[in-house]
Amino acid sequence: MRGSSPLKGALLGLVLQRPGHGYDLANRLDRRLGPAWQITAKDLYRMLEQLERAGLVSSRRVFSDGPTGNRRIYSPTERAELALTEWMNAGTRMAPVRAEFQAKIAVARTQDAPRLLASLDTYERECFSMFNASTQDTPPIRSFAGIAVHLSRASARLHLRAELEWIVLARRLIAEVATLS
Amino acid sequence: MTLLSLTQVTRRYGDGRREVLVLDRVNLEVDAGDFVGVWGPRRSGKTTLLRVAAGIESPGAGAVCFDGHVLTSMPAGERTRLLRTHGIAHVCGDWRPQLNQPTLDSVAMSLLSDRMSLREARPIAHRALEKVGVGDCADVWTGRLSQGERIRVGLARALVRQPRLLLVDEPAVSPSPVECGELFALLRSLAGRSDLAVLIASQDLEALEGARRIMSISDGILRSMDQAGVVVAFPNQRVSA
Repeated sequence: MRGSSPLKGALLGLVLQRPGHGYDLANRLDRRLGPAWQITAKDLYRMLEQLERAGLVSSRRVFSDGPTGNRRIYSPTERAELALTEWMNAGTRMAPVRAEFQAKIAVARTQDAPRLLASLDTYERECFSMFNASTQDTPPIRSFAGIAVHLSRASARLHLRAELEWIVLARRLIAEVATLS
Repeated sequence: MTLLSLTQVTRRYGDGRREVLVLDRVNLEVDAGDFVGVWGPRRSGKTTLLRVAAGIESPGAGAVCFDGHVLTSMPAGERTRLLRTHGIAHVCGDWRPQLNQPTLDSVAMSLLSDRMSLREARPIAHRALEKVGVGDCADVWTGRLSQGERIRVGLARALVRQPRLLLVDEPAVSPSPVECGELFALLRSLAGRSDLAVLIASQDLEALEGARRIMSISDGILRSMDQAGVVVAFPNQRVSA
């Protein structure tokens, strides 16, 4: 699992804690990591498939007469524990920084300044929308699960703050360059 | 009902050689019982915004109104009398008491100008200290309070005057994340009261959690960030798409 999506490692950890179906795992992952990760059902099932192909989880179909119908339950294989430990030990990579906006800046013309500033305004509002979406009650820090939720939300908040400060800087620099031109 | 409004408020600082625009045509409205959060990095204009809103500082241009009264055209004495009780309270995260005295008396003294004796003011001060979670500091001398305790005492000093608007400037002062989290929870619970509007300005997003409206300020320009992601048209927004 080395070098793969960090979500895959977290997903494997959750399956190891308790087997579950896709919807249950998606909910648990969202609760632990917060909405900043923007996990979609498609991503989740793709990761479960990859974990299954790698022999780290196995699935079985469970038949039910209830409103939820048949469900596929994912359980850890005997290799899962070691894979999770290896993932815990592995180094952490840096994510690419604001690639699209950087690319736009690199080829911008003077007349693009208002559009870039408007794009920054939109991005700023998106950051705050994400912040609003991530402000649920944080459980008390009394366990590693509690620490995980707290750190995950703190990470999202600090990341958003860095983005917002970067927007302030970008706005200032673009305005200055546009004034000089 | 609009409790506080700032209209086209501009504030400049200058030393004769250079002039810095700290607030640039700022418009802001705070309703009764509202909870507004203002995010901004350091030196973005947050402190000046709150000082102008509290009537502590006069803007160079524009109007500040509180409960229908135009503070900016009011003599200082009249403004102080209007805001003292059931008015605006301003609490600063880095507030330090001027006198080293028992904390209870520090809080009680903010009631003395209401023709109340220290003996009458002390029980009210004690209740306020308990309400903000530092009832056990009543006998501690203010010089011995921790940073986290000091801001709570500052809140108690503000709350005894039963303000209708509480302005909190940078509450994220404690080095302990747990202590900070508890203070933010206290501010959220105060903001949940229907008789009190709260405006918090901070560079720490956690302090603004639970705010009904969020705004951002940078280079003196205040931008409204509504939750639906729709642009709120403020006359001071310079750029349109």
